Amino acid sequence: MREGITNSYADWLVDLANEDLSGEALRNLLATRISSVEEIEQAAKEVEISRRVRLFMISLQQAEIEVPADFEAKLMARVSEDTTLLNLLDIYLSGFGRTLLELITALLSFIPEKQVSEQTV
Amino acid sequence: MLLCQQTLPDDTRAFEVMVGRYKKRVFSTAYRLLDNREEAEDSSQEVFLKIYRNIKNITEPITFEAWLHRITVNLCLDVIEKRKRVPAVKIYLDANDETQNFDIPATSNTAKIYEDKEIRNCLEKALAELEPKGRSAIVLRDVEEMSYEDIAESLKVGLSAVKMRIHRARLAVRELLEKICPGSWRAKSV
Repeated sequence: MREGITNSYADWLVDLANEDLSGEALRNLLATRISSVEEIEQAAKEVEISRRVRLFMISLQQAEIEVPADFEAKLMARVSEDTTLLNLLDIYLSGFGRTLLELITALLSFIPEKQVSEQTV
Repeated sequence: MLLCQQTLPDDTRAFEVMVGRYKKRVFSTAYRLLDNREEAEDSSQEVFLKIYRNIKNITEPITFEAWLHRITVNLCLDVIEKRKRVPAVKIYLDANDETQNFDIPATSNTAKIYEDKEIRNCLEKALAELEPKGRSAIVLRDVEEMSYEDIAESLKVGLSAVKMRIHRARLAVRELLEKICPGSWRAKSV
């Protein structure tokens, strides 16, 4: 197959592969945009290939793919791990926040009351 | 989904039902895009974990399936993006191996089953040889039936680039089918 000849028409050819046009009708339509007879033949050939491969690919939809047997068990273990981690993070953050507040309060208590009221004013 | 929103994180029963309902779809999409069972399993689990963490943020239940599909596709595309481009050593499914990944529905037409199975095996092999960009585009379009616009958004490229990738990928699949499974191209069933 001569690559590159129809690259500039690739998106059009993909659209044509979705339709039913073939034979002379397809070639006539291709001739509206492609002047060279050789390129029209190449494009027509590519449309047919594209259409055929598409049908092959669609047959893959019917192939059922087995989900691993322990998929759900593994997933739920990960979910539980995730929940535990989030809870720990939550506890850690609330603990950290509380400690931070206590530290600020303790630091403020070292500052003389007058200075604190001056600063706030 | 509404029940999940109401009961999580304390009660995971509704979530488990939802996983049961959608796991096949999510895993299939991931497997088709990644072509690797371990990565597909890990990515599928990530998808459900993401849902678990963010389900309360969904406001329109109607969009749930689209949202689920988008998360799956985007997560898999991220995995593909992160992969180092090393030549993969593929172990092809043995055409005679009954334990391979596909379940073929029971029917009386044994020859047809064998033919379908052969074609699917050939296609899997051909897809595995495709470069990742082309593979993603063709799988999203032809197997997942996504619109060109949605594919363009997921792959973060223009519409024309998407179509170009699909076209090239289809031509490449044809070449690969001839190379990997001579004769499959002329199979009667498709």
